[in-house]
Amino acid sequence: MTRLELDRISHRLGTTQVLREVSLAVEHGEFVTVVGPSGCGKSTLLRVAAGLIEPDAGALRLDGVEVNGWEPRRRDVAMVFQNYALYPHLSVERNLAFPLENARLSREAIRERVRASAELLGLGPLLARKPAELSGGQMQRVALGRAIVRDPRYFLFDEPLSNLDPRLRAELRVEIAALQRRLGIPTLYVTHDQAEALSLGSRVCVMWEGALEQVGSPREVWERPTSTRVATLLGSPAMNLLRLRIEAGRAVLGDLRLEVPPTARGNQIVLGIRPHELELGGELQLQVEWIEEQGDRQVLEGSVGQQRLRVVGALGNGLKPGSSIGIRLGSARRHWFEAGSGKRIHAP
Amino acid sequence: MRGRYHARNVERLAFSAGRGKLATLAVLACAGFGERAQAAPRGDRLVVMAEQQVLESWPLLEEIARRFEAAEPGLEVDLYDEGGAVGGRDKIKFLLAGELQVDVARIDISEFAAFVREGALVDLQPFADADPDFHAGDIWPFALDACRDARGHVYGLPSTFTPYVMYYNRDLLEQAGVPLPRADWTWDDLLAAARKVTRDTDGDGRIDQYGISLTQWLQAVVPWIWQNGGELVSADLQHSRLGEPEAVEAFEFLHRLLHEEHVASFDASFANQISQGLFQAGKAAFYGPVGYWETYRFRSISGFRWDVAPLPQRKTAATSVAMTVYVVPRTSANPARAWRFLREMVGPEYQTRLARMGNGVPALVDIAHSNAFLKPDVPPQSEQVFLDVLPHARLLPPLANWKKIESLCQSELEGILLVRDTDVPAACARMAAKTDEFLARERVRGERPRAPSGVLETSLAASAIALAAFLLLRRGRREGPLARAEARSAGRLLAPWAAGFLLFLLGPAIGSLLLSLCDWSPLAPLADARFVGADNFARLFHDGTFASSVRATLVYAAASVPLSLALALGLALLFSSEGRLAASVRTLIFVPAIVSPVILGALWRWILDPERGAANALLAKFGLEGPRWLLDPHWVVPSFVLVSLWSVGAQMLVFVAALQSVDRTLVEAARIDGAGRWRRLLHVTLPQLSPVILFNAITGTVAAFQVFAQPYVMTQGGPGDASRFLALYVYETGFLHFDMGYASAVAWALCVLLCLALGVLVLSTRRFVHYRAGGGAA
Amino acid sequence: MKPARAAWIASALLVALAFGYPLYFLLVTSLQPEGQGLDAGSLARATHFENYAHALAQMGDFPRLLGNTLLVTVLSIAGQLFTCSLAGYALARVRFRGRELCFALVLASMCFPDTVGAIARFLLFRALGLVDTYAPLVLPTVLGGAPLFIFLFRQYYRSLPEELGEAARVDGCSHFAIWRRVMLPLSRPMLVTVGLFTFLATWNDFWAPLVYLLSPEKRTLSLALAGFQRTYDTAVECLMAASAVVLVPCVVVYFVGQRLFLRGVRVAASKG
Repeated sequence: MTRLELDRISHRLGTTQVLREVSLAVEHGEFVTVVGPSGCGKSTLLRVAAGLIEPDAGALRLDGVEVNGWEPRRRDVAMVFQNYALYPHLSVERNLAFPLENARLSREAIRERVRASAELLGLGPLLARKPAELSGGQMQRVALGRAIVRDPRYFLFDEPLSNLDPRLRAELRVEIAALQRRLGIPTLYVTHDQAEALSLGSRVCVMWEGALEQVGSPREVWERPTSTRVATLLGSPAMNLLRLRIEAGRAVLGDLRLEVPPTARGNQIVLGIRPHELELGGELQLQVEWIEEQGDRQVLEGSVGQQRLRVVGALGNGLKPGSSIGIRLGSARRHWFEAGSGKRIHAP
Repeated sequence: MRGRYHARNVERLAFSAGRGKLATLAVLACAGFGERAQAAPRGDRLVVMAEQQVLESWPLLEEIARRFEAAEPGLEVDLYDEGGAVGGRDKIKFLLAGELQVDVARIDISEFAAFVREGALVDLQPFADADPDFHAGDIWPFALDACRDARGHVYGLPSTFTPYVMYYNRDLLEQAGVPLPRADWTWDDLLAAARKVTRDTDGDGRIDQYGISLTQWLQAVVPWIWQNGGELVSADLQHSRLGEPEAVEAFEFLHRLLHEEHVASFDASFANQISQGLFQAGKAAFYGPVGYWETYRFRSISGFRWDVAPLPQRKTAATSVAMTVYVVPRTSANPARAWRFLREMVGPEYQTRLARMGNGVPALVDIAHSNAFLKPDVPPQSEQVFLDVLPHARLLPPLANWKKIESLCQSELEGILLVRDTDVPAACARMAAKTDEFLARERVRGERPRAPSGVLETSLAASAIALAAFLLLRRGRREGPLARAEARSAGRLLAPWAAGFLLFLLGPAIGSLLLSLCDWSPLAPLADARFVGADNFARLFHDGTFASSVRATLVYAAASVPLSLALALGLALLFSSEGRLAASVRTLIFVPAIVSPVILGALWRWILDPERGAANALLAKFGLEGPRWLLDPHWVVPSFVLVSLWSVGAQMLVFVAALQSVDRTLVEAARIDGAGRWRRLLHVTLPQLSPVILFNAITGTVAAFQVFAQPYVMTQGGPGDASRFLALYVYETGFLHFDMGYASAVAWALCVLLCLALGVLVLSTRRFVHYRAGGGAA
Repeated sequence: MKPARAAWIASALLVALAFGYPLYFLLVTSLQPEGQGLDAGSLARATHFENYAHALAQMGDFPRLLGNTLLVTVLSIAGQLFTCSLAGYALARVRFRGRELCFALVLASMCFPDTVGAIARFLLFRALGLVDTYAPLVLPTVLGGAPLFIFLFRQYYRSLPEELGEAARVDGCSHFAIWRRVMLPLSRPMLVTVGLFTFLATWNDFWAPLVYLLSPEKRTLSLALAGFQRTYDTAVECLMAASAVVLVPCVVVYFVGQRLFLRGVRVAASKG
């Protein structure tokens, strides 16, 4: 049973505030993903959790014990890196054994545990090879093996799949999820890939400029993003954000007058609509400027009046950049955000 | 738990890869071997510093030492080798500075006055007076007199010595129908003979047979002045007399031989021991003025008959003498015993056997007149000449700072002898003015307060304070436990470096900074250092030699650094492939960089010899007339640049390594983009190499500013001051002119200049240096 | 053969000639009859192999000289590699206040000329009672190390992915263990380079042995070589023969070293 707790962690690198009062708890067996654009501080957060970086302020607790001053080796943590960070001069077997050797296990115990985790990840035939002789997927598997071989108190993943091709990525994603579920070790997983974050995490944290914008279940952050930032980070293509004028209590979009939540203030508001929820054929005329073919569907990019919009749909042939097409909001979920702060306007 | 973990790591480290044994060895090497030298001066030990002037002299000295030991039971005689003719003379200065026991040493007579002035020698007069067997009359009077101080006390005993004479090629003179030189021959006889001999034997339009191969260092030039009735300095040793007409005439005569009559060659311009001169090659009728040592070298001449004659006369006969003196340094543990050993070294047996070996004129009059020296069956026939000239033989003035004056004069001297259009009287006047200025300043430097306490102690204290301040500053910051742990492990990792940095770099650096504020001769105890404030730094601004040193150093660096870089890069581009041929060529390129500088210097001196060297022979093949290289003030720095180009092996290796790790994809991308070979090099390869180029430029600049070994071996700073690079000047000032304070100031000036140069280099290239993400130089 | 290849071979030969000349010269001179000096070096007369016997005999106890030189060289190399790589690692990858200052000090110490520090250093070793031991020859490299090499190691370690060290730390290593178990094995090209340069510098070093070694039985090869230059009777052919004897190990070490070094570089490069 391990509970990892980050309590108001702040950190500054030079003049930039990398982390701002980040608080987060990872419960036993829980898989928490952190997603955010590059440079948002998520990697720093992970390194703080690992003990590689000491935060300027805030506390890190393991099962309620403050471990700020503990060196990584005392924390009993395992970490998987984007570039695998395998030791190039050691064979796969020695790579797996490396943390165990540091822990001063007996030679038999080491051999036994290396064998077990190699089996678990199907690394048996690769044991004698050097990392340079492995493919990317194999390398990351070895890195996974090196992480689980010690049976650590918690796992940290730093964009482990970013260097892999999409097919492998999907494959390993499943594997990691299964592995974690099986081992039940609390996991903090950092990624810039929203799909990964949503599919893996039992909870998803969206990070922006060193602060957690939203923490919640995948459904929650998808359906009720608390800010325009969260909204744009999740989903591909990103959510359309339309900055609209409010006239007489209604938001003006072309000829449409849309009802806004009663709590809305000011004369501007932002409407968020996911591109694939928009429907084709309707009252809004979209000037198509660009069509991105995705095989089974197309992404149209263009403008409605002053507003930029993207629409996803199966259109078939015939549409060319420069032509226009009618769209409608239809049943698309409407997300309302404050124009100034970008915060979600909750319906009462 | 953690402690044990760490300890085990250290243990494993110590015993892995045999490093344990090495560590043990290191301890042994430091502790075990140290025992003997660490011991305080011991009366039961006699330390003798000696040089092997000729090969066989060392076993002989050992024999004497063993016999001496046998005569005084319980005594141990340690013979220390000075370590060769190059630099060997400076060893005693270190030992004196370090207050190490030395009972008998050998110094050059030109440094004798300085040693006496600094109290570096034991007054031997009491021992001489008390020694019933010592008869001053046995020793050549002028030689013994040279070993006395102003009061007439004896401070040393002369070793073998040699007056300067003239060597001549008997066959060549007879062929030319010139009478052989007689005892009273004159300058005019010399000129007439030289004119007859000088000619172009192979008809290529260049003179290849000379009248005289003229030696040109000061001691060899001085006899001409004396012969003409001139003097170097006034009788009270306070003023230079080089500007007077007698001296000027002498210089003009030599200049005329070289540049108007064209009967004299330059080949003997430096103490050119390794190269065979024109005379040895049978291409010069006369060779000199020069000493006895050449008979040793000329014994192997078989192609012609040769002999020696006195120097030609003008108004009077005169010659100079080279001599070394056995002395008892102030660090002797038992001067009485040292005196007895000295007596052995200047005793009949040792002197007789040295004379047989051909080690100069014996100090004892009787032995000099015996066949041990005269050797009737071995050339030269007229060994008697070395004795006959002694009544006119003189030593250089007994000035404590003679070496500095010599080097001040040497630069003008070379200007006179090597440069065709020199205004000789003006140069002589400059020589005199420089000397006068120096002597005047020496009179002022006299009574200054002593440094408040030992410089070394102060420097150590200062570095300790600096360290403490550094640690305190770091302590003052608030840091978390993890950061503190990091700092601790960084401290452990950096400990070996930090210890060495403080002890061997910062300590000495601070020490030399303190020294630069003092007036201290390395011959005197450190406690005798006088505090002179910023005087030494003020001197820099009025020191012409320093200015020309700076100029030479800057020009050398500005030329050699970029050219070496370009050459190293070019060679690396050509030979970075993996084939056997490329690897072999690379190895060859490396060879000049690893040959000892002494050898390399000799080799280059020979290659760059204007008359016979390979460089000009090669140029002649293309119909070009080569420059005079090391003999021409304008060409000497370019010559050293050329030498430096020859040693680009290390830089090339770094480039080769970098080239092999250049990102091929970028090169290929450029190729696909249609970039030609040249554009690929310029826009893809070079930018990738830029950090390595900068690295090589930095190390090259550092090396160029500190160039020492080559000029030291090849030109000793000449001609003039043209190649007196800063590091060489620092060394000369400190160890030859005994002016350690000023030398430290010059060293600091060098340091500042280098830092400036590096700053300019780094800042000006910032725009062109591209680091790969996460990558670095090399 | 393609013309480009022919031109390359021609230039290779030309360069070999220009740079190989001293070696040729050294060898030919070392085989000349006695007393010829440098000039008469003709290949035809280069038959006097007995010069080598003379040279070895003149150097004195050759095995002892070699042993002394090797001892000094090996200790210097080991110390240099240890100190420089350790310091290089700390400066590259350990985060601590004052790191930039330390690095600046390393760089600054490159600028300080040895010449005048020499006397102060001598006084220091004298105070420690270490004159006439190998300590003054070895200690400045064992402790301290050459700033240039510290710089090289630092740059090299910085070019390795940072995650490697982080992974090792998370896997339970102290910094010292990271250095020894991960960094050191990975820095073979640097170890060979620095070892090579240290070897050459120590092997040829003349001033430190001259100044610090007194007893004849402690002499090193470079000192013995200097002993051939005597005031009266420098025997050039023997000097050259002795130089050749001293030079050959350098050439061999270099030849072997460069292959190892370049192979190391290629391995490191291929790892990306």
